[in-house]
Amino acid sequence: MPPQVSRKPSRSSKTKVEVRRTPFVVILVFTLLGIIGIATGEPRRVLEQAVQVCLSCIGVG
Amino acid sequence: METIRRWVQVLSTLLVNGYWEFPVTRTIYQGPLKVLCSPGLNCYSCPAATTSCPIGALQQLLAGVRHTIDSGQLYIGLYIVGFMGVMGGVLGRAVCGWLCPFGLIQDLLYKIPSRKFGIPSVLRYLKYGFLAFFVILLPLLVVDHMGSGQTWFCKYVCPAGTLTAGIPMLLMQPGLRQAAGLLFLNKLFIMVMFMIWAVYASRPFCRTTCPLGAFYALFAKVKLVRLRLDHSRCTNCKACHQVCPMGVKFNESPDDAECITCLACMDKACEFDAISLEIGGVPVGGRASRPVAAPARETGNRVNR
Repeated sequence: MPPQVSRKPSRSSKTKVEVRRTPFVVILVFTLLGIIGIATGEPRRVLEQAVQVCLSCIGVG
Repeated sequence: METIRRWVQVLSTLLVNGYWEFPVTRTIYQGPLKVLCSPGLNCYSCPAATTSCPIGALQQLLAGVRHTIDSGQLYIGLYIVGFMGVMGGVLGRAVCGWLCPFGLIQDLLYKIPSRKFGIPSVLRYLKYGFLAFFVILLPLLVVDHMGSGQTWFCKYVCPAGTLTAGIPMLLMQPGLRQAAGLLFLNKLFIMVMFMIWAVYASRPFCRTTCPLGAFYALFAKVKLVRLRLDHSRCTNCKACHQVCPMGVKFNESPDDAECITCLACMDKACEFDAISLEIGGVPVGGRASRPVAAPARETGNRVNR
């Protein structure tokens, strides 16, 4: 019977860097939201509005 | 590090305000880049603006949501929120410290020599109210007989819009001056108050009013790039309190929602290398071999921002 090889990291390693997964999940969720927004055509609407002077934004409308 | 940050701020400001033909054309940029959002607060009616302001664009979509539903679409700002969420997830309020044009303006105003004052920490919660009410609820719910809402934050509050869009547009287009009434005076008053306040206190608009900063602040505990405190090295000397432009007590709350990751505490204050930068949990940059947990020291009578 061949000897079993342990794949667990050695406890003797000097520095243990723990990668945080939460930021990647958050980024993924908001990327998906953005993709849904793009798929529904929101960027076109944003562009239509942004190329016009927003009178209320500048305080005269 | 402060110099690098200043240059990044300037570069970012120039990138999102790169339309320099406006003195000739006398109008705003109308090209395709405006489909992109600026990471910081930058009014898209500014004559030089090449990108959209996420807060302005979000309000516009929410204010017109009834019309788009009538036309068979549902534009509720997922594109904008997705963009802001990705920026928040990666950088959080580092956007305020490194990329926001109005943050740069306030930083420069604070450099004017004067007596400096703090800002009561309770005022930090106001900006969440501006985000919830002036950016989301009021544009969505308060509509006229045609079903159109208003961009409440832009219309009644935003000093960045007055400074970078309102005043330049009134100067360029004389026809608009006749339309400038009480509404413009109100916004002008708010802008002047914030600019005077920014001379005496560090970043008052960011700390008390900015809805974009409030949104990014929600990512304080989950953002990818953040500062980390090594408790074994921290001596609680409170040197980090003295240099923070946002009034954060870093050794007491390392994940503070106000932290704009300007790195002043790491770079200028901490002598024990207790503060480091990390990306997704992985420390970046070397750490010098300095003494660990030396006795606490007094910091003297410096201004507490």
